[in-house]
Amino acid sequence: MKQDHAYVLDRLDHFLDGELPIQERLAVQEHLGRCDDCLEEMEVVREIRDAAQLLPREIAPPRDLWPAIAARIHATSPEQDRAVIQVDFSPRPQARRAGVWVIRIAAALALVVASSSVTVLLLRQPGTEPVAVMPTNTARAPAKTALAAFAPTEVEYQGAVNALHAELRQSRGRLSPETMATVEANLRIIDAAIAESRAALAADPSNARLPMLLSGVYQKKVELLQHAVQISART
Amino acid sequence: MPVLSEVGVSTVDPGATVREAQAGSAPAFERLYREHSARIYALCLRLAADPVQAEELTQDVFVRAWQKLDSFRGDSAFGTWLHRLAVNEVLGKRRADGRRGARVMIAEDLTIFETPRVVGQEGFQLDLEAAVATLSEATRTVFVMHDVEGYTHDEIANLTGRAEGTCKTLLHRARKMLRERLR
Repeated sequence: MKQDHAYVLDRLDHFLDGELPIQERLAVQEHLGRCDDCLEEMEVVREIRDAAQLLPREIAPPRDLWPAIAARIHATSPEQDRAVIQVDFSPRPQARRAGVWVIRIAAALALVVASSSVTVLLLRQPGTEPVAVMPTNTARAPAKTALAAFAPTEVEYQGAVNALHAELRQSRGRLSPETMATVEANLRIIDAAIAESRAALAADPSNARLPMLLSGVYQKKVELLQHAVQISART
Repeated sequence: MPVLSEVGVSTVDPGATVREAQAGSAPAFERLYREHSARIYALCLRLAADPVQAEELTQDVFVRAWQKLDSFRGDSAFGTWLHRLAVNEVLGKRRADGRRGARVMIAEDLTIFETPRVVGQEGFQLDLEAAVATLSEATRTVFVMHDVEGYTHDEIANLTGRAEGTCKTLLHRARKMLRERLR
C-alpha cells in the first residue's frame, strides 16, 4: 500500500473523522508515527475542526429584524399563506390536472378575494376616510411618509421579481405550456391584487396597514416565481 | 462528532409559547423570534457569508416558520425544527435565486462578526470565521453544516441534493483551503 505524503494528506480528513477502513487507517497511523510533516498537517486540520465546533452558535443580528417580519406575517393570515403555498406546479398525471388547476386558481383567487376583503374592511373602519376623499389634514403629510416608507421595499421586491422573471425566461422552454399558462394566470391575478393594494395606498396613505398588505402580495408574487423557477430547474 | 442537540440548538421546548403562536398569536411568535433569532442569524450569516443576505434570510426563515407552524408537532425541540427549516430555506432560496455562483468575501472583512454579543471569539476563531467566508459557496456550505453545525454527511447529502461522496470531497477541499489560508 502506498504511504507517501500525498496519499496520507489526502486521507487526513477521513482519518480524523474515523471514516477510513481499518487497513488504510493503520497505514496512515503508521506513516504519521514517522513523519513529522504529515503529523503537523494533521494537527492543523484537527485544530480547524475543533475550532469550528467551538464557534459561537449565536450571533445577534445587527438590527432588530422583528418589525420587518411582523409586517410580513401580518400582511396575510396563516390561512392565506397556506392557500398560496399549496399552489403546486409539479408534474401530475393528466387525469388530475383539471382538478389541480381549479385548486391553483382558487388558491390565487382566495388571495385576491381575501386581500380585497381586507382592503375593503380597512377602508371601512370607523373613523377612516372614504377612499375617494383625500385626507384633510395634510399639514403632517402622512401621505408622503407612508408612501416614502414603502418605496424602498417596493424597489427591493421589484428587483427580486425582475431577476426571477429573467431566470424564468431563460428556462421557459423547460416548463410545459400548461404549467406556464397557469403561472402566468396566477401572476395576472397577483398583479391585479398589487394594483388594487397600491390604489388603496394611494387613496389612504396614512393607513399604516396597507403597506403591510401590499408587502404581503408582493411576497406572494416572489414566492410564486420562485416556485416556477425551482420547477423549471428540476425538469 | 457532535450531534445537533449538543452544539447549541436550544432543546428547551417552549411548549405553551409555540401553541399560542400556532393559534395565531403574533406576540407569542415574537417571543419565539427573540429566543431563536441569534441562532438562526448565525447560521444564515455563515451559510451566506454576507450580512445583508443573512438578514434577509433570517426574515425569510421566520416568515416561513410562521406559515408552517402547524406542521410542528413537537416530535423534536422547536429549536431543532426551526434550525432544519432554516437550512432548507437557505438552500432553497439559493437554488431559486441562482446564487450558486462563487460568492467570495474579502478575507479582511471581519466586521460582520463583530457584534457585542459574540463572546469568547478570539484570534484563531476570528481568523477562521473570515477564512470560512472566503470559501466557495459549495465548500463553505458543507464545512459549516458538517464541522460547525454537526450534520452528518448523509444529512448534508439529503439537504443539498448532492451525493454523499461529493459532500466528503467538498469537506476535504474546504479544510485543505482553510489549512492553506490559516498558515
